[in-house]
Amino acid sequence: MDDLNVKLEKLYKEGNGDYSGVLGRMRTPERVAKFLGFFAQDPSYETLRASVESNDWDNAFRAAHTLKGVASDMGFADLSTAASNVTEEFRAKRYEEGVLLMPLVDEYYKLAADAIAANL
Amino acid sequence: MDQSINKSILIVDDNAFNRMRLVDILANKYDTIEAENGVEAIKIMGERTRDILLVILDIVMPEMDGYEVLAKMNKEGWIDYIPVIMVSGEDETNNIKRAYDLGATEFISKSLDDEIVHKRVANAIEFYRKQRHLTNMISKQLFAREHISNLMVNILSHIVEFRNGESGLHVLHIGTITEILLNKLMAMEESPYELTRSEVAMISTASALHDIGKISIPEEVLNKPGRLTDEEFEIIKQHSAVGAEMLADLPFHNDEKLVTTAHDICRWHHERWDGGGYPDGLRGDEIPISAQVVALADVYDALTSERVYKPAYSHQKAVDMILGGECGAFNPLLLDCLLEARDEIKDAVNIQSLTGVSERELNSMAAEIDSNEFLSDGEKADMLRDIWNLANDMSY
Repeated sequence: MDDLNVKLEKLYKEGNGDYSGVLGRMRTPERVAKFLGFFAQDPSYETLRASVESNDWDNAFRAAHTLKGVASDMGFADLSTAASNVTEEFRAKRYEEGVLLMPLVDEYYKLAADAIAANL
Repeated sequence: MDQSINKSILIVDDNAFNRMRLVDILANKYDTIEAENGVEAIKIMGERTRDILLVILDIVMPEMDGYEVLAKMNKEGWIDYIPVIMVSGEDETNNIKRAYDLGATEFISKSLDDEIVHKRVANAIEFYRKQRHLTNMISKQLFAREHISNLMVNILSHIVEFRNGESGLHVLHIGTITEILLNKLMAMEESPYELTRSEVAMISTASALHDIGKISIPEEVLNKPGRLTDEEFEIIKQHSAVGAEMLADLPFHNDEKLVTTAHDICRWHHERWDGGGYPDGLRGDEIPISAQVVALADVYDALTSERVYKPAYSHQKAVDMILGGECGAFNPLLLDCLLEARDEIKDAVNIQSLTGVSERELNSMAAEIDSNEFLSDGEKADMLRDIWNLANDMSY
């Protein structure tokens, strides 16, 4: 169990997230690990990317919005903020501005995804 | 009975991760159902309304969003007894207010704290459960009170009728016929009388006391099979005034509506529309409508029942005799009511039994619940259902 704890601490450090916050809300490392797995499989990021590429703005908006919530729930605050900013641009129909903010989302998402792949 | 057994929490979110988070949090204590969007959620709620313990609702969803779901729940009245917890990343004040305005019970943001979610869910469920428990208690009380008071009135009047050698059904018939006539009267466009549903119920109840004055009549006169002498007839006529006096003389309650209504009925149910009745010779609408109707009911029932001095006449003959002016003078409007209601009266009188709960009692309770300002429509519907079930349990 302690082993898992150490692993997760490392994971969150590498992935630019806040482990203690998530642990406080989910109570056990097992739970955190379980949902990190689901997070890695969550299609929101892929959907966001694909929707932006095909100019499907309705889906892009919802995907960004979902990613924001999911990232926040898993303790990846920077990713969540980046996704939130994109969400607001898309909500206001400022699609070009939103697309300009995407690289930040890509960057933070990659950090988190890589960290999960490497440690779990 | 714990009504939360077999009920589930409905989780509505288009994202699998989010649904899983919630199921994970709640699964140790509750059964859960999942819906991917608003349309699915509404479908499930429509099909399984009574199975839903609580709804956890996301806002941003395709096809139908959280606000639209709330609006639909309002429209269907489900919002009255299914608590809704909004879960969303939309935590701006306007969005929160909008959700509350649409009837959401609670609002929690997407960084789910497992313990807080549990507590909020439990609190919301408990609150609604308590409300339901209270309305159910009230329904039972209403039912018991109504039933007992009618039972007491019936017992009392049967005691009076006992001396006349009449069956207990006479009192019941009067009440039933009175109620039917009054309802017909209220339904008529040209009716100048304005009575509420509970006033109608009360007059019908009070009618049971119309002959209590007969307690004071000596038995030889009361039950004389042959023709009465003029003297004997005068003695019998006293029963109206005597009955009214007994009620007016009550050391308490004599200004209660039931008592004053019973007083009017007692004293004036032998008055005539043309002023030729007794004891006071009142004419036309000087006679309270309650007494007018009971007078008609009394005559009708006397004609269609066996008496020491006559056999029972058919319903048709009774109506003909009354309309032909052979049995007293009545308000023309009431005679119209009698004509229109005669089949209903005939049926009601034939199936009358002494067991179970009368329709009048049910109507009276329904009226009281309906007139309450603080109950929501959903709560009223629940209570009416309670009372219906109680009544059905009673009928055997």
